[in-house]
Amino acid sequence: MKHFAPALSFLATLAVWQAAVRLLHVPVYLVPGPAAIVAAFLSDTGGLLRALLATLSVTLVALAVACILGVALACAMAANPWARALIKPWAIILQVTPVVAVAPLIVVWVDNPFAAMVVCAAIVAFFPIFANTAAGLDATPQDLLDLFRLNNATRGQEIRLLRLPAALPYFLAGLRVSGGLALVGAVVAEFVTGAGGVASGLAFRILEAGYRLQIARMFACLALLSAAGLAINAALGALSQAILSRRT
Amino acid sequence: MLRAENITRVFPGGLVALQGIDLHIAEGDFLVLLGPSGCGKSTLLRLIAGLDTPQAGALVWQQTPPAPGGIGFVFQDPTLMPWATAAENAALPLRLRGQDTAPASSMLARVGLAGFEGARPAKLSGGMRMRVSIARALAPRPRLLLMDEPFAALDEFTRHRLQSDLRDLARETGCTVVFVTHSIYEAAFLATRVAIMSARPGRIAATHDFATPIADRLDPAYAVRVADLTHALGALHAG
Repeated sequence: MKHFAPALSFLATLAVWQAAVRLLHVPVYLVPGPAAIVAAFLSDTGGLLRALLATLSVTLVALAVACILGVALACAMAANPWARALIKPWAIILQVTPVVAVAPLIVVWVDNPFAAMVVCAAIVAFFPIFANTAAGLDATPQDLLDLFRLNNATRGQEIRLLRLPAALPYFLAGLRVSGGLALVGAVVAEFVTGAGGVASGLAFRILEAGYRLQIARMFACLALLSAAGLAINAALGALSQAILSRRT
Repeated sequence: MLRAENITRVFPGGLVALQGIDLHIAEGDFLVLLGPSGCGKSTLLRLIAGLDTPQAGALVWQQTPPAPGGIGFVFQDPTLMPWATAAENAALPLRLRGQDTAPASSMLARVGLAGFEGARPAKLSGGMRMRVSIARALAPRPRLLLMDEPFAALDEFTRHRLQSDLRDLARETGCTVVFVTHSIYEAAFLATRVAIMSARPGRIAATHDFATPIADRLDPAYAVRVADLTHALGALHAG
């Protein structure tokens, strides 16, 4: 019964919501009920799913870019104190600067709209992967590091055979956080670049529906975004569990 | 094999861990460093391993210093890579030097872990994990084996069994062993020489040479050694 509790509470919320908007005669342009939202979705299923696919494409490519950059820079910091001194301040600057403030500049600098959106989303997704991987690389047990030193291991062997495997659980935790953030970054990027004429993602559909007062369609887009976020989180959680369970 | 000459180690902040350590380690010795917690036994072991450097004094190797891998180290914890199997853990020093890893498998079998090569540390008991750690240290056939209270966290039964196995392995391989402990019983059973260290700053307060090995714990000589070491530690404490 406990396993069904989230689904039951979700269905109960929808039922209360639907009953409330109907009984209180809330206008659909203010708060549409779940039935109106489903109707809005069904009226343009193909268009909304294509928009979802576009947003997911940006999200997944940005997540991959964030992974490659985050792990590579964390490894560079672990391998070399100079690299640590050079990289760390920039990584923090990147984290504390709101992507909304940087996005217009990126749109100006990067010609390709898809690439511009990927850059924005990757900036948002980068830090948890980078910071967690760096923490994992630094948390390698000292005795094991001493063992590698005793056996005259090269820096490359130390990173590849010891520090990276030791950092894997940290990386996976960061990846799960970054998965959600990449979606947030993709939506923010679409808001910015969408205004420049790229009308493909869910965020642009939200803006478009807002201008036309199609509030039910806005909610349908939001529901798709939430579902995508949940799916990304669940998929990355399952991936983490599968990888980590093979190591014990 | 090795002579420590007037070794002093001061940690940042001015804490004097070791002061004026003079110690001779002969080839084939089973030297036990015995002393209270915090007396610098582990620090001395790390200095011998080359993992730390003294502020004063020197470690003088009487022949050539051991090549990388010529010193085996067993830590207080088994210090295994949790993502690697027992075989992969035992083969690590050989793998790091690009050598054939077959000796690791035979050493695993020698320490009683035949059939557990594919097991990861989480699936092994504390005693089995320590056996993997010992196999890893001995697989490259080191000239010198350094052990830092390896059995301190184990239960009495496992500790006794591992002590007996270690003593046999040291004899078989001809390896020189420096073994850190604060257990008089462990020192009395394992050692051919015992160096008793005083509390901080650590100094070698006395050394005891035991010519004949202890057959087992019921050997009357074992009780005599325990009594001798207890007396020596008591005298040190009183002094």
